[in-house]
Amino acid sequence: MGKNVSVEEVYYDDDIVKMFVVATVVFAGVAFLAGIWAALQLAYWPANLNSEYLTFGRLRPLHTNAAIFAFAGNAIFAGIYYSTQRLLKTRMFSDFLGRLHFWGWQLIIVAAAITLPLGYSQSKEYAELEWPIDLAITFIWVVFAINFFGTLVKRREKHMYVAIWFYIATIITVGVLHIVNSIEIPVSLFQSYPVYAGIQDALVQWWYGHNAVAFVLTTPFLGLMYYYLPKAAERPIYSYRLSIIHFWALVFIYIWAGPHHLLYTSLPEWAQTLGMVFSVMLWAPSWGGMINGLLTLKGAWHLLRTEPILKFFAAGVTFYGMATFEGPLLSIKSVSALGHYTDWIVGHVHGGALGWNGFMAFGMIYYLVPKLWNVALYSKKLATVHFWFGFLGVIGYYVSMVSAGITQGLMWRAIDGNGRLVYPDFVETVLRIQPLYWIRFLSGGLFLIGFLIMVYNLIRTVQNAPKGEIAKPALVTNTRWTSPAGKGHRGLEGAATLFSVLTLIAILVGSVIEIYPTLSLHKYVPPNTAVEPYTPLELAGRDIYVREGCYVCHSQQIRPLVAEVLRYGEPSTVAESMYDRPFQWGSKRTGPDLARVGKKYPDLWHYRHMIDPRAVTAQSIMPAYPWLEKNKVDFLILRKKLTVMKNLGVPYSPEEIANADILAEKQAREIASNLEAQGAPAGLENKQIVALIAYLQALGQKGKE
Amino acid sequence: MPNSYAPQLPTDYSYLDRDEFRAKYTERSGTQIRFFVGGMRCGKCVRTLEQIPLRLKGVRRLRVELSRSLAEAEIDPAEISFSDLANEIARLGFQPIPITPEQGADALGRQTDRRELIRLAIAGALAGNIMTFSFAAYFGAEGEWLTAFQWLSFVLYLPVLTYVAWPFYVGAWNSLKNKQLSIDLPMAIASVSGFVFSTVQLLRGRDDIYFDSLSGFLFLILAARWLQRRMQRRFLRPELLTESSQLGRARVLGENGWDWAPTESLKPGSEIFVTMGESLPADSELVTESALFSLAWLSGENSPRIFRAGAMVPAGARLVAGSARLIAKKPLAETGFGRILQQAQQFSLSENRVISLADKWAQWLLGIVFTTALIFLALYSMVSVEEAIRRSLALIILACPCAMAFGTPLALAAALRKARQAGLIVQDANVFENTRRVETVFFDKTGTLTDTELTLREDPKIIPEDYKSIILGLENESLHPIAFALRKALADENVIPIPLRNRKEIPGRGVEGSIGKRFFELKSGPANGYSHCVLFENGTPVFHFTFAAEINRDAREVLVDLRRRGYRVALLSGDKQAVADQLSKDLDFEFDEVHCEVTPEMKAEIVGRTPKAMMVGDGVNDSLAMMRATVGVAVRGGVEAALKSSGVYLCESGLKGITRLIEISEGAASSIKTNLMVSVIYNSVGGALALLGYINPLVAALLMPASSGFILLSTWWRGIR
Amino acid sequence: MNILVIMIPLSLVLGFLFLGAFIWSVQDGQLDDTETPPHRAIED
Repeated sequence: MGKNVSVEEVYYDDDIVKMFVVATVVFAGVAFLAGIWAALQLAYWPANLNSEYLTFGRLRPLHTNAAIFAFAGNAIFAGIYYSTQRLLKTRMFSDFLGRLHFWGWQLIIVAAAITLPLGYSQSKEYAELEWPIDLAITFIWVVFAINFFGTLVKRREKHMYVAIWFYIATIITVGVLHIVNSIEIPVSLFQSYPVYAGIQDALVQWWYGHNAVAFVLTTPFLGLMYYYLPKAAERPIYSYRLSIIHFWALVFIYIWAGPHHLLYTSLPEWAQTLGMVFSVMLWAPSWGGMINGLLTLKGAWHLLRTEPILKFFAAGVTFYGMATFEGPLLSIKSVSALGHYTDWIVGHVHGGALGWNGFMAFGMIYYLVPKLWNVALYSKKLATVHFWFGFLGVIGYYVSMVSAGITQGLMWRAIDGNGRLVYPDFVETVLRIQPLYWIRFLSGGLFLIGFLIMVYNLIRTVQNAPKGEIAKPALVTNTRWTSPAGKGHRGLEGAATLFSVLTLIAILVGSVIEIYPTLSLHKYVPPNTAVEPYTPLELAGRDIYVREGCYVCHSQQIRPLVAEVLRYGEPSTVAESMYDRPFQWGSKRTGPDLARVGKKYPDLWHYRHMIDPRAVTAQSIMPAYPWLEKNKVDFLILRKKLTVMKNLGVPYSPEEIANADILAEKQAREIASNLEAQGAPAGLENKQIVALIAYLQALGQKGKE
Repeated sequence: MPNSYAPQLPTDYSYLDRDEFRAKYTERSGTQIRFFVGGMRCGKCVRTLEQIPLRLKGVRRLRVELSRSLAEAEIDPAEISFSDLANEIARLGFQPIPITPEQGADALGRQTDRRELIRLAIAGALAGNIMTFSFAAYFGAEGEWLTAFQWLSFVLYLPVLTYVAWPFYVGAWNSLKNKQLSIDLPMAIASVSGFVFSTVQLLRGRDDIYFDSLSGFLFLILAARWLQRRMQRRFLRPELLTESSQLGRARVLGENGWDWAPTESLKPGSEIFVTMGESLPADSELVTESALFSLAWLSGENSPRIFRAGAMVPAGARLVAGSARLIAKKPLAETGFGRILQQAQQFSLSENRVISLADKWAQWLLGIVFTTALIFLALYSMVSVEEAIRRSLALIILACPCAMAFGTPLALAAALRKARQAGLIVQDANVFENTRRVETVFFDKTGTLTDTELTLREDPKIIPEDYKSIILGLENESLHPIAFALRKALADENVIPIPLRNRKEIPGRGVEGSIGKRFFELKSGPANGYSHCVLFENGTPVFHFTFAAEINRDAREVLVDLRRRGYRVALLSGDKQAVADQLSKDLDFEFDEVHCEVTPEMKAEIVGRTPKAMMVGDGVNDSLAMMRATVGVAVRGGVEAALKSSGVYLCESGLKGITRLIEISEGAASSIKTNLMVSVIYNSVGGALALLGYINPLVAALLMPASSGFILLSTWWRGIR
Repeated sequence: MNILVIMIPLSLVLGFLFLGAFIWSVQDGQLDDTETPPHRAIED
């Protein structure tokens, strides 16, 4: 039979998928290595090799960024580029935009890998990258969006499969989140201050932070699950209707769940409770998705024994179920009281990241590589070995961290009959869980070994690939034509009207809520508390605190819980951090809270502690910061910093701004001479250590009557 | 007219290429068509069919819809014809049946579906957001935030008031026009009066504002309605659609010989031609000497009937073998079968009755609630107008009769759906209630407990080869049930019939014929519970054959099960006592009552004087009895009979459907009972508390969806089990 | 705290955006047939 005019030959762009797959594997290696190294540093602090570029505070952001944006990001792109073309029966909109997207994204990652160890960081979790890179991310994301939506427009398949919807939600939401959270004013090429301060910054950050998890690590991976799991199992998704409900429910509820990261903080009670309620509500759609994924394998359970890809998917979906059960649990206030700031959260996150994102990505890679290179996988057996290494790794990691978290959480809150802390010495609680840090390190090692086995397996696979093969086109027909029912389009006008009405409502609502409380902006800070801004030197010190990533181990937020008040002092107030840009509330206490550390110890204690923590706390696991004693403070830039702060609303007087450097130098000299008098070496007055001490001593001192 | 007449027949789907059909079935200047595709089950079928354009030049595209077994295609008429496409689909192993755009698209239903889904989504989004803001208030938001949130709720409630609640206003208005109370009325009143009350309170700076509860409750009710619509959809089997589509055309003798024509164009006097497996598109007079028609669709009679030239054959009768010529007398639309098809297509059989049944109960409750609320409002206004409004509003919101309005239809719809899955066509939901009352179950024998066809009881292997050929030679052309049984028994044996000289069939006695000097007779012998016949060679009996109607495979199981459940089980049979006894013995089951040698009228008599009786019968013979019974169940009978005698039609062979019917009825009844109990307790306790002022409209609006949610969920849960 | 002033409308706008997308998908007939697409998705 002859060729059909309406049948078109489509060449899918698989080269771009290959590129992203390779990038995924490469950066997975980077992310895992950084992770395991950071884990080793917690178990054995000298592992930072005494290098300022490799301290935990700088390595940890590198690890999280590499894991989320480089590994998961590239995996998502690979998965999306492959499945979108096939689901929509068309080549991607533009080869050029695809390549621009690829190289742009890799460049961003490289830039991140260079700037983060150098200490260029905004210190907002998962949004550490400085403003030039933020701009680049926005640009590349728009490129991706144009390429993706262009593909939607030229699609040949009328129906958009549910996976596509998950991708759409990802692209739109991540774009909005990134832009909103990254509004910042540059001070220099590699430093900026966010426009939000204190609690505002905290709220925006965790709205972003939570939704980044939702829309980078959840929705796109769910989209991938809905495509690759049925593909690999060769059976359709268990219930398509459920998947549609899953999508819309998730999209509507997720947006609101951010505030649960701020339970027991100075965020208004009602906003916290609201966040908690929404988080608990999320449990239902999430489990709907998990059940849908697992039941797809109904009748194919036997394949799990032989197919490593399905093993990865089934385990991945199960870990998703576990993480999405634990998440709402942790957002319940009383559970959060125990779990927050401990390693439980770290365990929770890695259960999701390693188990769900990692396994889904591995399964997808094992599925894609043989398809893309048109060759059978080198060894199924090795893939199975990888699975078991990875599985043991995740379990080991999860169990050790949850036990560590609960142990430490209970120790922190333990109060004896006389109303005193049972473990007043923080380091005691650290030592108790240190063996678990070793187990975590070893579990990470297992996961990494599994990964290396995969790399070997993939290299052998690609080596076997036939050379010089010409891509075969897919034959498709365009199914976007008006159906004989014909009447479908009459309603379109109605939809347009309706849409306009809805948009109008949205704008109206936005205006009402925006105008009304703006009229009373500063009502939330009690008028009698005059909060002084940081002195120029303190500000310089704060920027060092930010640069070194101190927030990854120290919080600055005392919760209104008895044990915390006993240990750290009065609960934190909104006013105290009202000039903090960025806020440094933190989310983890590997070391004690610092919100009220000011004036608690003499300057010399801080000096000795920073140069060698073990000089003051014999068993401390904190790294040493000897370079703070050598590096000089840039006094000159302080005028500019104060100007920016002033523009953002911090009440610096013109004299303060004009004399910022002089004021700072003056304060530095005082501290330096004080230190010298107590026995520290001379000549510290222009060193960073002095600025940092100035800042640390100011903590908890602002906003006091 | 000789039987050997072999007309030049049009090919199977060639009618699709004729203008009249193209006008009827296609759209877009004759390039697009829809088929109902029989045999489409799984993903493989989707793939096979959707790849047709890759193989068949001229098919521009083809797309299938599994849920409705539809295929939609576009062709290039210059390259290919619709019949080619249909033939290709048939070649792939499916049965393509063209359907008209109206039939296939059910455009109206789909548009309504979409509209209501959008309404539901908007209601959900608005309610969700309003709830969020009120939650913030409950969790302690105060000052500017509280005011802002309250005004936000007000703004977001405006589209709820106007757009989301619109169907309730329409329903309420209609019910007022018809002077009836309907469930829409309290919704409409609550929506509007709640809005007015809350707005007034908002302006006065008060806290009791109920936008959240009102929108939440309207959303839940819309959701329930939407769910209900879905469940009631399409519970009739698509076979009727198929049948009606096949009947949409006929081979008519025109000037240019035989060709297809649409059934509508058939005129009395048109000469038509049918081949094996086809049904008659009109009441017609047979021209061919004799023909075997099955009236299964009409009467449920399974064994085909012989019609002789000149006899009237009803529309819907299916030709069992060979081919036949007829003269159309009465067009399909005017025949009984045509009307049934029309009715079935409108799918209106059950839906209305389910709703009206529930509405009747709901009206009572509504009447009581409204009267109470009005009296209370009038009396308590003397104490405090505001409080009077608040409490009566709480009562109206609280006392929403959801258990009845939604729980009952949902339970019945679930029962209908389950019934359909079990292969039962249930005429309406009353059947479930009636089934629950049944105490005695009457079974017809032939065609119900047993097969209509006879089966040889002896092993055919014991017959010597040459006798087999002779037997087949004797019975080869006979239409007697025994001949069918013998042919069936010997079918596997590769026997070639030997032609016999002077072969004769003597009605009521048997067949005879000779080969050379050997003269054979096959005559019925004395009955002793089984049919019996003897082969004579030259007057000497050679073989005895016994035949039995095969017992329905799960008959015994069902009978025992019914007895275990406490039913009286009775047998009605036209046969002699000996046959009935034999059946009893073979079944190893003692009937509570046995009535032998009864005519259809006597059966109806017996069933009619037994209160609470279920009649399980077969087709036309038992339709009288089934009508007199509390519940009539037609086994493998005709749809017409089943639908007429207000009963149940078992599509699957076997009797298991009866136990399923009983189980489903019990399930639905207990579900409804629970709902009613919950509803009565909830309404009376809640109503009292509302009037005493312990429940404000807010709590009422939380309780109402909670109670409805409980009822819907419990019903749904029972429904899927 | 005034940050909520931006975030709530933003969440609302996002929410309504998705609602708009849902309405479009219904109008476009995306949800008319929910049985065939999963089968089609596993074919290349």
